[in-house]
Amino acid sequence: MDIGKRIAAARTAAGLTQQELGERVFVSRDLVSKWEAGARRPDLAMLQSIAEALSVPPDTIITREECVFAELQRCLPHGEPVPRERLSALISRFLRERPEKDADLFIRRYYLLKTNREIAEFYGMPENQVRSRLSKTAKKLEKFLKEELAK
Amino acid sequence: MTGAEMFDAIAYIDEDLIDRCLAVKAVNAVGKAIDGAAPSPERRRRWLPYAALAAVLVLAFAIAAALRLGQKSPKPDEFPGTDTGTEAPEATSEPTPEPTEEAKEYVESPELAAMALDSLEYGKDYIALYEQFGQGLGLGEVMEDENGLAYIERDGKKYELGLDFLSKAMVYNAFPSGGYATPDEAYAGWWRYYVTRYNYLLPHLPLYRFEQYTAYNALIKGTEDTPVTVYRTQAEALIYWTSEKEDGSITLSAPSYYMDVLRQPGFNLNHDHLSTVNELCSLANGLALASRDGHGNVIWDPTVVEEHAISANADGAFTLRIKVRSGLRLSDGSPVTARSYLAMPVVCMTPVYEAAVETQTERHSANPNRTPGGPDFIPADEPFRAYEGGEGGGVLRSIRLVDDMTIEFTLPAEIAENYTLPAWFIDFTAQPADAWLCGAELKDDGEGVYLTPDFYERDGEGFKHAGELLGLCSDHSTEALGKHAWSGAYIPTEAQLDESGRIMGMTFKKNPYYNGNFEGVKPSIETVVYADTDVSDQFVDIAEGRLDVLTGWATSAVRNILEAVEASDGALTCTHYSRPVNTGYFFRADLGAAQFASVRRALAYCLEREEYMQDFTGGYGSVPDGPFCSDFCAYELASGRGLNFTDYGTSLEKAIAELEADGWVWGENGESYTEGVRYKRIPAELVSGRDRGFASLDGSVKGYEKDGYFYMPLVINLLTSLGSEYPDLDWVGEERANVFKAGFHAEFFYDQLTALLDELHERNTYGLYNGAPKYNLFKLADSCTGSVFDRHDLHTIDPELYDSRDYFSTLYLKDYADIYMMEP
Repeated sequence: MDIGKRIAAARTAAGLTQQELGERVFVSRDLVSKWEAGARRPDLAMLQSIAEALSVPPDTIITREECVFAELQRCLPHGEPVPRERLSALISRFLRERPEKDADLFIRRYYLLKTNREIAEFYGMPENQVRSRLSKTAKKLEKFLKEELAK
Repeated sequence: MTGAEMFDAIAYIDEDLIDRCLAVKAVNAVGKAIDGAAPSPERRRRWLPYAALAAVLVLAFAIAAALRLGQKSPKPDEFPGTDTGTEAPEATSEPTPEPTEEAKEYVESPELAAMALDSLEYGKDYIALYEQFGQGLGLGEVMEDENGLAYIERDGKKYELGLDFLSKAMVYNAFPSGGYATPDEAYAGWWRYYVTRYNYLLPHLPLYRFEQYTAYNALIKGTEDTPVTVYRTQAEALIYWTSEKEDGSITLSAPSYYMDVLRQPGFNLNHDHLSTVNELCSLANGLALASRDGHGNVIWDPTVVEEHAISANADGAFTLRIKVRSGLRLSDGSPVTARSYLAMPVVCMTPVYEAAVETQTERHSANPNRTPGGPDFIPADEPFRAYEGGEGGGVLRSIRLVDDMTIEFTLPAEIAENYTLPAWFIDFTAQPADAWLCGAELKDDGEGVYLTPDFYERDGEGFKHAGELLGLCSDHSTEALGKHAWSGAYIPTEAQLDESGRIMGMTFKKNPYYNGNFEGVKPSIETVVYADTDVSDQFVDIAEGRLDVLTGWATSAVRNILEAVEASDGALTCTHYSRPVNTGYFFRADLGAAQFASVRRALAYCLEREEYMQDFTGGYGSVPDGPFCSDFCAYELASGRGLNFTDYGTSLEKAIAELEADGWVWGENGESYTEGVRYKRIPAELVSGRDRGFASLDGSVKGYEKDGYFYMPLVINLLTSLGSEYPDLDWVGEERANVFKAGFHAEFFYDQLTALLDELHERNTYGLYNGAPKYNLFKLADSCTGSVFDRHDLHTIDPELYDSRDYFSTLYLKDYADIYMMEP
């Protein structure tokens, strides 16, 4: 079950509508709908808020493992924290400059939090090729960020 | 920055990028219909090139980015990766600005060079020694030192040749040079240096290997000259035999399990396979483009292939052109053509085939040789794979039907660059093309092969021809067996099936049109019967003539076989060979103390391997020297030049001497070692977070930093799977044991196999890996029949290649000798 479906299940179990959950976490009903449909993904603070709003442990919505922190870490150059807005903008720029397929694989893995197997099945690719391409993209992102942040 | 910050930043990337991604439609059919469309980790081939990232090495690479020589070492709570949820044991830190004179002393183990790579850039600071000196180097330039290790000299400097170098040289530098007159001799020469170094560095410590015994009815002749061996299965050997039995037949016992897909020989037949697997398939399906000879070589089959040519393309891909000999016949007398080799693999990539076997998934998944979705070398983005129904399946660009007898394959650069012999994965057998094509045609208009649209004809929701294909693959009734032609030395003529259709026994008759195996040999025995015999009765069956060949390797089986032979008064004969499986200890040779060869060798000296071997095999076994068998083609040639492996016989003195020479001479507070656990001083800036976090399982022994040095503890954490509670583990934690006396702290843990696999590969496949490796030793078995010792993926020092591996392998060893430092 993906994260969106878990949010929907927990919300339904809590007897809330999408509108009501949105009100509790200060977002629009439309965004809740997108979360549940898997078209958007909340950040960590929001995931925590959602769990609180639905009175469920955060692990019910997403486990630490699913957050793929370790994998994401390899994309990061060593250094001081970067404001979130700047980092998001840089990642967006980087993804625009990548071949579309590579950018899509990256988004499916790290934005939509799909497993490598799910991605492989979706694209009809061998799973190891998904990993390989993600790995190369991560290395390129690290290099890209390193260069941009040094400017 | 942390992974969590990255996670959040990605949550706010531009929405149009996400929408674009979400607009992509899923690829239908191929790869989706059957669970496991992509090779599962456990089925990973050694050759698989783009074999993805080592998810497990994330931590190491993050640390690599963080650590730079000359920078202050991060404190434990600053380690990248601590946000993964891992609770790495804390290393104590007592920074002292100026080290004392004494504290400056440390032993510069060669492995420190490999540890330092984390802070250097491949291609700029260093490259693989092979890249620098390997191209065109002949064996005539190679010398060997007193340990038998290979080296060369350049500009007055001596360069040892590492495992990466040697494994590549076996593939690329196997040409006559110096006293090596033929390519085979040159191959064996490189192989000899490789296994000598492997034995010296000892990334894997074999414990024991069983002998496999085979008893034969003495009326079956030819078994002494051409016995069953590692490289010759019963099915392959019996072509050379004759039968003097009254009915001219031979009766074999079932393999350990029967193939239940007789018509689908799979792709990339693993030439490492053990001898009892795949017997029926290889009897019935033959004339393969590539074969094994009887010594482990993979060759283009000269009986089948008239010409073959390999050309390198500008994009790094290889193109193979193979011309099939004319005059080859299937069992119905029809000619074998290029289509006979392409029909099955092409059809297997279609949704029609996937639909056909969908209901058989469970049975098919039991077939270890089946590769759903066609050959692995076909790129995933081939339009042919993206078939969505209705308009034909597109063109398969990787395969060309040049003319009736000529095929061309294009192997993508990812595979080509992995130095793999193409024959390994183009070993297609000849098949009745019409049966696979179901009346459609296989064509090529100049761009690649394709199937005519009638192949994809619909039948409601399904495909019209799916049923035919299912019957072709899975119907083993006697009637169905005779419906289409076969290409093997024998034709299956009669089947004994159980209620579910599984093959329980089968009778084969000689194929009158068979053109011969790779040596042109045709079978003599008229009838081959695979009998469904009860394992417990087999010794009686062979003694009483109901069975003509029986093979076994467990202690009791060997004793039974030998007793039967002895009691037969000459009616039975016997041969034996070493099984190509080493059971032993595999070091995680980049974690903690296990990354030092001195430690691995010291552990070898501490253990009583000969005793363990006797316990396990009842004396019908041996203690191996390395990952090879003596039947291997290069072994005999290499032996002629001397194979002087280190004798790791039990010796506490030698163990201590190894450790002392390598600087394991410090105690738990920075004092000289007197008792307890040994420590080794290492310049602190070289020590990764993985090593700092590594501690004994009970947490009582961990590394510490003092005076600019990290004191690494002599800790071995062993993981073994449940059910492996054998007496060889007596050494762990026992104060009486040599390991304790030598200064090790050794612990072990039993766990489920799934947990072992997660730890082994440092990945969370089963949800049982917590993000930081806890073990630097594993007890496992490993097959070692590989005919090509191209193991560069296990020894590369190129981070690009290292990173592209599918997952961490315990066989990995970053050999310091493979590092060539560039001029500043």
